[in-house]
Amino acid sequence: MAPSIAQPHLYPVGPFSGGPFHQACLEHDPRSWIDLPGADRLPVRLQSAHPARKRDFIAGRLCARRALMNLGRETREPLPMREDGLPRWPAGTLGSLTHTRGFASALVAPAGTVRCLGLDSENWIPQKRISRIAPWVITDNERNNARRYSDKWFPRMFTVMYSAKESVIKCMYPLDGIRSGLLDWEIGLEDFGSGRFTFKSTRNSNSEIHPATEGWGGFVIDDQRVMTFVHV
Amino acid sequence: MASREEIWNVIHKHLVDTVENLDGQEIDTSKSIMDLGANSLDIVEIVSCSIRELKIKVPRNELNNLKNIDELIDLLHKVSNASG
Repeated sequence: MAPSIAQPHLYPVGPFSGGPFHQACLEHDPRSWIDLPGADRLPVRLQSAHPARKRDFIAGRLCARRALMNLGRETREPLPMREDGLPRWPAGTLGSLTHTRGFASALVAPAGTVRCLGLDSENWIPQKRISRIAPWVITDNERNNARRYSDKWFPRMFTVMYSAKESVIKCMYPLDGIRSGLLDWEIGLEDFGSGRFTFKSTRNSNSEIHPATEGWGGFVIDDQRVMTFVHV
Repeated sequence: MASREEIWNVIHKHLVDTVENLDGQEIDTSKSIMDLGANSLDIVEIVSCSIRELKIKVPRNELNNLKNIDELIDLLHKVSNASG
């Protein structure tokens, strides 16, 4: 992933492309508007939304369109939005969208190849912000595990864990309709260099309500952000 | 025990501190925080800082399915009254 650029740049193949998965990424200047054919037909609820929200929506839809095209599914209209705010993927496909400041991505797969998938991206979170939100994001267990690394690495560990949890939550939600919380999942980063993480439910009852209570996912990093991916 | 208006004032302060270009704007509390320009991390910060400032404890699973700011105000108001 290259540094942010003034003109939006669409990468038709993302780092998680491969096998049944097709991913497209978009880098853009978060202060500039992005043109999307059909953007004048934004969902009603977004027509009066904050410009940043509209920009994120359009950036995500551009990626979705490209990822679906890679899958052989041409779409002219922007992907519609469900009542709960999630995208409504075309029949026969499933996918996940992510956007963070200056970046968006979509990952899609043919239905039947996986039960669900979750994609997330986060710009590196500064230590000052982490100090304010850490108890809401990571468990004591995760904090203790992260202490094996130097303080210098902690913000990166934290950001990967936060993004991994978001991917897991997004992955589980479409199947069970239950939006779990950040502390409902514990992330293991045994080897930061491997690009893999493990996830495990912290709730006994999750075995009854979620399609999976443990598993693993992948992540890629660059100077600006981390991107994580989970599928079940 | 805080009134609904006091709770909204606390949430509003953290909302404008966290999301760019909201200060001075009239905010429609029937909208989701995301539609006001916050991302998922911003929402964690706005909610956690508001709860900390109000000195209340909210069952975490009740925070997961809030649809808009009105529902957040209602929840924090209910918890504040119960603990007051």
